[in-house]
Amino acid sequence: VTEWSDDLDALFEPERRLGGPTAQAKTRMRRALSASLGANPAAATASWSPAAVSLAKLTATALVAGALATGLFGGRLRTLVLSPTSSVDAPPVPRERAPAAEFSGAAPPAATAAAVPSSAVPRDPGAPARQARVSANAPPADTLAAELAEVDAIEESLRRGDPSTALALAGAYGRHYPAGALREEATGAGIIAQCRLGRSGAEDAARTYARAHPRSLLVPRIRAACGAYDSITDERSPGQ
Amino acid sequence: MSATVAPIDVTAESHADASASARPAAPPSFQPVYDAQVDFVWRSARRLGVPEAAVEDVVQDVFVVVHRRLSDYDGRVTLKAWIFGIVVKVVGDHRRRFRRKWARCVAYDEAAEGKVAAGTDRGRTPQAMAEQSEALRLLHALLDTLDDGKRQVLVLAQLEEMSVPEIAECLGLNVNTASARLRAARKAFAEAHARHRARTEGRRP
Repeated sequence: VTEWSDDLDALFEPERRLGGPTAQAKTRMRRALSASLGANPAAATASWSPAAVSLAKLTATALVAGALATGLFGGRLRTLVLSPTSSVDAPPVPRERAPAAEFSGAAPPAATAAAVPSSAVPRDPGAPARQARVSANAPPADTLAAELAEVDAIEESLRRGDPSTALALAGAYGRHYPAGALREEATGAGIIAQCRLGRSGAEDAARTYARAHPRSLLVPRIRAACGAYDSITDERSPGQ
Repeated sequence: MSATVAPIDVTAESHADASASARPAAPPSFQPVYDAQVDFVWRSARRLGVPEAAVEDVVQDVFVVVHRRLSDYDGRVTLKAWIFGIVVKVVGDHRRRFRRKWARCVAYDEAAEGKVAAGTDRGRTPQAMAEQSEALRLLHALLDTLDDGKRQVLVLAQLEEMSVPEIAECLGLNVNTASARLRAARKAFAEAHARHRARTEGRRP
């Protein structure tokens, strides 16, 4: 008869004393995760200090990618897009929020936007030029604000754990704004909703999305929601 | 019943730390959760049989999921229990996807052995470190003989030193099931150990 004994218990002792990974491993993991969540080379190499991912870097990325707002970093970009008086040199968000925001994009997006009221943002001589550059790429602010409200509602439904509503809202967004500036975000959120609902074809949609928008900051979230991470990621072109 | 709303303790180690009456007003933010739980996630991944070379990938995927779902966390179970549930799913997912790759690795390889011994026992003699490495290697080999369910309960009981109700919470089981599974796991582990001893004693001259 094999019984549990103190000898067997003692076998676990060395492993029980084990703490965690080495400092180097921790640094590697933080970088990898930061890169994965941010899908942003700046985030991959920067520390998690609030200033590490500056608004300027994000703005450049956003303009190049044509992604005016995304689920990730949404708060900061919205501040830029929606507040004509904002400059790209706006101060970083308050210290206690910033690391989470960098990681996450995260935390309730509205909070980040609210944390940098446009009235508090100092103007600088370069601001008008940058503002013009932004407006050249952006639809009128009132349209964008309406689009953002719809995308916010989709994201809010996902956060609430209500993918059915999120999917319905994503469909509504597509009908309202067939060529909307935020369709990439709305479509991505809709795919996340489909995956959470276990809809057939959701994984195919995720793969198609990753192919069409390899730089989208939503791809890591879609990957996580849709399960077939590797096949979705593998579709991303090399160098992404 | 208390009507107060308590903040979530991101380091919550036991069930008592997050009573059912203390529902959070808002989900915890990600970074404190990461900082408080990364060691636990890393340890758990190793202990559930993830090869050393894949542990960091698993940790990353766990936190991608944590990040995505943190706003859904409602404080009904401890954060640690909630995260362990995610670790179990991600490890299972990786095992399915990388079965062949994992088969080429030993769950506990020589390089890892050296690192662990050096990391945990600075100042020990080389002989003591070698003995500890051997003990760790044996433990992981014996754990590898268990099925996933038994391995999970044994890891939580023996290594995280959780009570049966805490284990039940972590794995989403009822207490009786968790208790029965723990008994079965201890029996299976003891049998594996007995087989190991029979083999090694049989080889001795």
